[in-house]
Amino acid sequence: MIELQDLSCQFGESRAVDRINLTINTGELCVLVGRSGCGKSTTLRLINRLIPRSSGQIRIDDQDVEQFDARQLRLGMGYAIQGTGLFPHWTVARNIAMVPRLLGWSRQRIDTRIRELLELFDLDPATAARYPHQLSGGQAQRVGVARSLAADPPILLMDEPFGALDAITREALQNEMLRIQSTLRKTVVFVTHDIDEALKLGDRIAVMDQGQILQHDTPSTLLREPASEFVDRLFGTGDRGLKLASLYPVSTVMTPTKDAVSTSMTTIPHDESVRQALSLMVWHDTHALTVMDDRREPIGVVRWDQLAGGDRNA
Amino acid sequence: MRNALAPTLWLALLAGLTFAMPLLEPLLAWIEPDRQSVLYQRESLAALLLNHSMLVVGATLVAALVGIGAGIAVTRPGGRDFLPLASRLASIGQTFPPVAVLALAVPMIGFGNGPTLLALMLYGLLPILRNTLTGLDGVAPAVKEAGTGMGLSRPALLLQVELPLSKRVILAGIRTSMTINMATAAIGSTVGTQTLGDPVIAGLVNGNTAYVLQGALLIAVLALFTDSLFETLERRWAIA
Ligand SMILES: Nc1ncnc2c1ncn2[C@@H]1O[C@H](COP(=O)(O)OP(=O)(O)OP(=O)(O)O)[C@@H](O)[C@H]1O
Ligand SMILES: [Mg+2]
Repeated sequence: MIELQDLSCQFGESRAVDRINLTINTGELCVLVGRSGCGKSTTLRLINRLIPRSSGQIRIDDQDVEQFDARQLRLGMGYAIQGTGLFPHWTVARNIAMVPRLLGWSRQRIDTRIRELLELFDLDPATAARYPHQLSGGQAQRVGVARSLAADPPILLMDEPFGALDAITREALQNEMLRIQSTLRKTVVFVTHDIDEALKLGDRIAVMDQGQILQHDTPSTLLREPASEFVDRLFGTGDRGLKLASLYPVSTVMTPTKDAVSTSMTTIPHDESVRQALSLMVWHDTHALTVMDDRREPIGVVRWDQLAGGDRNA
Repeated sequence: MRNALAPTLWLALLAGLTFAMPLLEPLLAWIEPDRQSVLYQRESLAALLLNHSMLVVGATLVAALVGIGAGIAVTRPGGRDFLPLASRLASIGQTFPPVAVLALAVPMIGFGNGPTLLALMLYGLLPILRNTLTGLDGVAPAVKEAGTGMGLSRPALLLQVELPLSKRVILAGIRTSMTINMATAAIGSTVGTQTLGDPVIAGLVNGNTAYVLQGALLIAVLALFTDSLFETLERRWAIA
């Protein structure tokens, strides 16, 4: 658990972080969103003590971070930096191996770990021998995230790890992130200024502006009950319903039946979002879809008048 | 292997000029037909070459140690206050003529190897310091932040990240320093240091162009050899 209490960081006259309070539970993925310069990166750097705090407290599992040796603290936190920060003179393997080497792992254990991570991030094993300048932007970002996970730290700090990528690669990496997080259950602080990314990944989202946290809530609460004008505008007005609909899968609103095939010919996987269901209905000009499970067997039916309110059932 | 060809050829030419200069006697006699002596023989060319090279190598070693050390020191948190001073010194110092250093050094440490060594050290220091600063400054801040943020200590960051990433720029500084000094050392002959400048000075004093030519040829080939040696080294590092 990470707790920030009345945390401030002053740079000369200006306050980059202004008395913020934030609790991130163990196993939770917390997203920090806000416009450029609102203090997101600074908050991360305060947590791993890359910059000293001006006042307030940072506690990890009820221990003040000042009580740790700074290096020990950082070795226990994965850090994926804005713009990858890969070491250009080291191969991918050596980059990933950095923290495990500092921790004194055996060569064999490190090699196994590198292979595991490359596989986890869908990277060709041959990538291990390449240098960062030989990677595409998407591959480099994957390696950056893989490197932060290398020594299996319980805490991950990620600063726009998927920034500057095309929409398709970005989405693929977000899905990987969700898949990995669903099994590893790290405590993650994830910075982005992409609202859709925040809604998709965050268990809870902290909205920042001018160094302050305006609201810290679940995605659906932020959409349904924005606490201020700013949050309201940030989360868009026109397509808010669609954003909400992308938060929950059709399985939360469907009617389970055994004999579903006869109801509708158009099908949808059970883990697709309600937004996707709506899209399919409009496209195929139908009022109902058959929901399929992972083995492509029908498990239920979803009708157009059931689509609303799924986030309340979920 | 092909890489080492150029320095080998220059070295062969250098050895040839040093030990087989008499073979060029007809050419030198053609340039200075009225002289009895066209071959410089007051001191063996080999001895001059040796002293000349030793002075430069010694001076460059000291300059590299001090220059790189100072460059590192002023880019650490503790020494940052001196960074503007160091970079100004590195750029202005180059405009200061080495002859002036010699002239100032002689009254302090007398004639001989001393003043030349001092002048070469001071003069060779600046390109190394300048390139060390440029090299360390060129390491992307994101890379340094990633290193520190993942738990590298300050010395480990310097040794494993900053220096490896700036080594080529620093080596280029040493190359400039050493090549320039191979030529500059000749001026040491004006204050009694034995260098390849001796035949040049003697030639100028007596109006004997043949002497001047012998000294100048050796100095030029020595500088070219040094430069090509570094080029080979740099190429090796570019591949690694
Ligand atoms: N080392 C520093 N010295 C002085 N000011 C700083 C420093 N680091 C950040 N700031 C200032 O603090 C404020 C917050 O910066 P921060 O990097 O946290 O923003 P951010 O939310 O991460 O922005 P972005 O989305 O552009 O990355 C900015 O106004 C920035 O100029
Ligand atoms: Mg930032």
